[in-house]
Amino acid sequence: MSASKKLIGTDSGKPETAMQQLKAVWLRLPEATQDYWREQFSSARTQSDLRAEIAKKLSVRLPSDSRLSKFRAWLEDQDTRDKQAERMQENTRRIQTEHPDWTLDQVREEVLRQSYFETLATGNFKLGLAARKSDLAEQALKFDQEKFKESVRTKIQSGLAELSQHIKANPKAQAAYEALEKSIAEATK
Amino acid sequence: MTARETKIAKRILDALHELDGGQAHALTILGEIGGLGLCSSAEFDAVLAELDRKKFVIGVKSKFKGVMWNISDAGEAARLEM
Repeated sequence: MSASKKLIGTDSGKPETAMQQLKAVWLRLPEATQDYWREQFSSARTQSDLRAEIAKKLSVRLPSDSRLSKFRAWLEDQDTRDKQAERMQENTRRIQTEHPDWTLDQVREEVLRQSYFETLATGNFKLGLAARKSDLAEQALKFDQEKFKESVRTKIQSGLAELSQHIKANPKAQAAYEALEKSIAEATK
Repeated sequence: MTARETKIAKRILDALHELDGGQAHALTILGEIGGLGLCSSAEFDAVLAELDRKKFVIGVKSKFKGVMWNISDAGEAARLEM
């Protein structure tokens, strides 16, 4: 059996569907060929006509028009991710040039933040949501840190109040206590 | 891999699985799995490199998009076992 006619299988042992085959073929196509097909997809040609050409040129037989529609929806998502990737690459280069002292984490944080706003500005809420997930995770982390700080602050304050009761009669200890209280208040702001 | 690295690896594979055969940039994946709130860039890059070494993910270099990643059949199988 030649390589091209070899059955394509998955780990489950089931043969790949026409849709999976088409996606795999698509990702291997040269950009110029992809552009040709994009033009065809946006032309006035019928779905069945397009399916016939796909079968002939790409050797993938889509069983129905709805499969082709699903493929086109998937392709739209992939194209959006491709455009996002281009912008992220460009933004990474630009931010690294503008801030040569930034760490990789700082650069990526800024790229993700910009990507979130860009995707929302273009109305792509799905991609925006993906970028937002990181934003939310960071906010959750900050919230946890604030909560921890607050609990520490409360414990220290109650401890200091108790200590204050015991050293009222000692002016030196009282002065040292007040200075310490001030430093702690500053540190746990 | 440590338990933490396995957790990050599982999230990466889950994110790529959701693309349904599609490809994504590393930063899109990083954003998808929780961003820098979940792990540092160094941790993420190391886990992604390990997945690549094990052939669980496939990286395709592109002039303008950088490297675009997708999940392999072996990656799909590994994901189910993690």
